[in-house]
Amino acid sequence: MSKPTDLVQGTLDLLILTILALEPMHGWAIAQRIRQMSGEALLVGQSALYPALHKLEQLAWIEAEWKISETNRRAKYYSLTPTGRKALTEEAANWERLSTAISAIVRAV
Amino acid sequence: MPSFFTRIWNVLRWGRLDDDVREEVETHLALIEEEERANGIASAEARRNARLRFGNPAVYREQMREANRAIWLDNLWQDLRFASRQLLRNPGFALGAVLLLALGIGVNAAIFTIIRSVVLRPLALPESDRLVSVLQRTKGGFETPQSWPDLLDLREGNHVFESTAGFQQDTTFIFSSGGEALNIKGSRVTRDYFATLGVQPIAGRVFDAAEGEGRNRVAMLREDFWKTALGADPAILQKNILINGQSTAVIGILPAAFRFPSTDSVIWMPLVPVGMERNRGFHAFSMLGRLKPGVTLTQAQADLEIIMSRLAREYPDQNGGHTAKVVRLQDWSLDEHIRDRLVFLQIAALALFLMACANVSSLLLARYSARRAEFGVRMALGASRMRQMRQHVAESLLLTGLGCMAAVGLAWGGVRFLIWLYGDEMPRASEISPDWKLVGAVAAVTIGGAVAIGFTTALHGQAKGLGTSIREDSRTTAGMKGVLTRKSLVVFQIACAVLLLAATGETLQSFRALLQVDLGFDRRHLITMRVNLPSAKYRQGAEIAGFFEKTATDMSALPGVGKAAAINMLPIAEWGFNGSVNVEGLPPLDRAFFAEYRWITSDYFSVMAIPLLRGRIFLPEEMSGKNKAAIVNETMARKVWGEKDPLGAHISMFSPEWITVVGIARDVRQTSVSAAPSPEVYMPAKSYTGSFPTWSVVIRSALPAESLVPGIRRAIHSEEPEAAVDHVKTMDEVVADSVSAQRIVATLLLCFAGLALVLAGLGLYSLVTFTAAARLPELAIRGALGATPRALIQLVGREGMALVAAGLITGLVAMIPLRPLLTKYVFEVTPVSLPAFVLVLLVLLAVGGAAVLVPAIRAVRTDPIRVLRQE
Repeated sequence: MSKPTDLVQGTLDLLILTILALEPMHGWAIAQRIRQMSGEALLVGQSALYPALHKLEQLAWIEAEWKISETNRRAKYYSLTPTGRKALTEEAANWERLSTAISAIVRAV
Repeated sequence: MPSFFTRIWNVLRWGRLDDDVREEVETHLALIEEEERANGIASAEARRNARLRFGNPAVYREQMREANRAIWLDNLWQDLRFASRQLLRNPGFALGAVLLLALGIGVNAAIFTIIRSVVLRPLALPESDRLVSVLQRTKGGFETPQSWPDLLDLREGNHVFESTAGFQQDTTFIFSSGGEALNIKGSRVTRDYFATLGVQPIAGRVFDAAEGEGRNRVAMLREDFWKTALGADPAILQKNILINGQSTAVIGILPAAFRFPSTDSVIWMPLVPVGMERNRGFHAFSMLGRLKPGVTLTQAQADLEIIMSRLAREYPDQNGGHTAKVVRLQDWSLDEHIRDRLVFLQIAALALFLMACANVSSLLLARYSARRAEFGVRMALGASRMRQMRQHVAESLLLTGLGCMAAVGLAWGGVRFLIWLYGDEMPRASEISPDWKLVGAVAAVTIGGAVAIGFTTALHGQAKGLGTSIREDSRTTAGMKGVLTRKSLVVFQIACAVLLLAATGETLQSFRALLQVDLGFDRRHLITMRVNLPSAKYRQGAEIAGFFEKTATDMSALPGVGKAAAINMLPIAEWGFNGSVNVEGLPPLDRAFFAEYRWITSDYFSVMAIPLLRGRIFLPEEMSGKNKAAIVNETMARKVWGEKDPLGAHISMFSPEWITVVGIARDVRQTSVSAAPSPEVYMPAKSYTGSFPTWSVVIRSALPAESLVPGIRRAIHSEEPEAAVDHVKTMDEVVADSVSAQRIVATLLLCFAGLALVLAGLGLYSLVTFTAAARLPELAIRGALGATPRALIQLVGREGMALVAAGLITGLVAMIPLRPLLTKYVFEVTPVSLPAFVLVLLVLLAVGGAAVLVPAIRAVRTDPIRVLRQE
C-alpha cells in the first residue's frame, strides 16, 4: 500500500455525488471540499476529477452550467440531477454494504 | 439513454466542447494561483506552482477528448466485432436469417421497382401531368376511341386544351430494304401530335401542313431504328425509304426515349382518314390533349361533355347516348389489369416479407433464450442494460445489413426475371431501371426494423432479474414469455400461409377455368398469320378484300390444307374495329347500338367451325357485293332484338343504305379469352371500304404448321411480293399468348405460396424442436416411469398441432373479409370449390404435421438415461 490516498475505484463518483448533493459547485471547489472533509486524507488529482465529472455528466447524474463565482470569475458549476440523486442513494447503500463487508473480513483476519 | 445521445451530440459539436474544457481548465488554474497567492506566494511563483499542481493542460484536454468521443465509437466497433463473432459461431443461423431477409426484402423490392417504373412514375414527357386521353363512352358502357368527325368537333369546340392531336394506336407498316418485307410498329398521327406531347425531333423536323394531308409521302423515325435498320446513315434526311410499297421521305428523327403510343413504335406517318373512316359512326382514332395550365380533369370532363351532348342531339344515329371520358394519359397507356395484378403480387410479396420477419424474430428469440445464461452472467459482471441492448441491436443490424445487401442483388435479378417473364405484356419496360432511392428506402426500413427487433429481444429478458435468468438455464424450462411470443409468431405465419395458399388455389382454379372457357370456335388444327399489304398499292377497301378472297382460295388448293379464310380482326389476338349500328324501325334515340365490325371471306365460319344458330351464311351474290347482307352474333341479337326475330331485320352502318340480317352466329371470344363477347356484325369482305390493309388468315389443316407455312408464304408472295407476313402461330399458341399474363401471375403466386408453406413449416419446426428440447428431462422421466413412445409423441405433438389449428382458423377467418377483394384480381370468378379448399387444408396439415412430428419423434427417441445423467 504505497499510495494510501488512492481512492478505491468508483468511490470518487460517490464522493462527488455526496458533495454536490449539498450545493452546486465548480471543479476546484469540489477538490478542495474533498480534501477538507477527509481531513486532508484524500487528495483528488485534477487528472482524475475532471474525467469523473464528465462521465457523471454524460450519465446525466449531474449537469453543468457556467456561472460567475463568488470571486467574480466565470466557472462551470456542477449540480445533481434527480437521476443523480437516485443514483446517489443506491451508490451510498452499495458503499455501506461493501465497506461493512470488507471491514468484517479485515477484522476477522 | 441520455448518455447515448450526449455522445452523438459531442461528436457533432466537437469544437464547442473543446473550448468548454479549455476554459474550465483555465478557471481551475486561476483558482489554484489565487490560493497560492493568498498563502503569500509571489505572483510568478504562484503561477508556476499552479501549473505544477495541475499538470499539462494539453495532455489533460487530450484525455478528455478521448473520454468523450472514443468511448462511443470504440463501443460501436466493439459491438459490431462481437456481433460478427457471435454470428460466425453459429453460421447456420446467420446464413438462414440472412437468406430469409434477403428473400423477403428482395421479392418486395423487385415487384415494387416494377410498379414504380410502370405505374407510378410519370411518362417521360414534359409536363406529362397535363396530358390526357379523351375517350368516348357509349350508352352500353363501352369505352372507344373517337370517330374522325367527333375528334374534329372536340378539337374545335373545347375550351380546356392548349392543343389536341389524333392518332391511330398500333399501326403496322411494311418496311422493305432488299430481302423480305418486314412489319414494323408505328402510328399514324396528326400534325400537332408531337407539339402536344412536347417532343422535338433530334434531327430534321415534323410534318408541315401540306405533308399532314398526304398519307405516304413522309415519315419520322425513332433514333435507334435509324441506327439499327438504316446503319445510322448520316444523309438519311435527304433520302427516301420504302414504306408500304411507296418511296417515303424521312423528314425527322425522334429521340430513342420517345415511346408513344407504344414501347415498340419506331415510325410515325401522317394520319389521313379515307372512305368509311371519315364516318361519324366509325371509331378508330385515339385523341390526346394537353390541358391549359391550371385546368383540372373534372373541368375538362365537364367541358367535353357539353360538346358530346350537343353532338348526341345533332347526330342521334351515331352519337345517341355517347359521353366523353377524360383520363390521364399515364393511366390510359396502362392496362388496368396489369396494374391490379402487380398490386396483387405486391400484397402477396408483403405477406411473404412479414413471414420472413416473423421467422427471423423467432430465430433471434430462440437464440436469445439459449443465451440467457450468458446475458445473466454479463449483467452480473456489471454490463449495463444499455450496453446489452446495444449489443442486441448491433447483432440484428449486422444480420439485416447483410440481408439487405443480398436483397438488392436478388431484387435486381428478380426485376430482370419479371421483365423477361412478362415480355410484350409489360408496358414501358424500357423505362424500368434500378431505383437507388428505393434501395435507400429499403435500407432505412430494414435498419429501423433491426433496431426494433434488437430492442424487443433485449427488453424481453430484462423483465426478470438477472439471478433468475442464470438459474433458469440450468433447468432449461426456458423463458415462457419468449416461447409465447414465438408461438404467436408461428400462428401468424401459418395464417399467412393459409391466406396465400387459398388465394393461390383460387387463382389457379380461375386460371384453369380460363383455359376451359368455350371460345365459340374449334381452336385445334388452326394455323393463323397476319398479312400486311403495301397500302400504296391497295388503296381501296375492295382491293384489300379482293386480295384476301383470292389468297384464301389459292391456299385452299394447297396440298394438306383443308380450307382457308381471312378476317380483318382475328378473334382473341386483335380487337378495336368497331362503331355504331342503327336498327330500322326504332325511335331515333334508341336505335344507335355499338358493335364490333368484322369482314370475312367466304369460308370463314366453316374454317373456324363457328356454328350458325339461325339463318344462313352469305350467298355468293352477297359475297360478291351485289346484295347487302350481315350476320350478327348471339349477344347482338339478344341486346338489340331481345325476344324478337332478327332475321330479315334491317340495319345500317357508316352509310345510309340498309343491310339485311341473314343469320345469327354463335358468340366467339373477341378481345381476349376472359372478356365476355360484345355485339358483333359480320359482313362480306367485298363490302369493306376502309383502308387498314392488315388482315389475318386462318387455315384449317391436320398437318403440322411447320410443314405448311413455306407453301402458304409462297402463295401469298406470288400474289403480292411486298406483303409482309408475321405472327405465324397455331390458334393454340394464340390462346396461350393471350393468357400469358394470367399464367405469370398464377406461376408467381404458386412460387409465393410454396415459399410461404416452407417458411411456416420452418417456423413451426424450429419452435417444436426448441420446446421439445426444453422438455427432454420431463419426457425422460415420463419414459422411465413407463409412458409409451406413442404417448410421448402425442404429448409433444399436441402442442404443435394446436398451433397449426390456431393458424388455420385465423387464416380462414381472415379469408372471409379478404375474398371479395381477391375476386377483383382473379381472371374468371369461380365459386368457392370444396375440393380446392380441402386440398389447401390437406397440404397445410401435411406440412404442419411433418414439421411437428419430426422433432417430436427425435425428442422421444433421445436416450432417457443420458438425459437424466446430464441433469
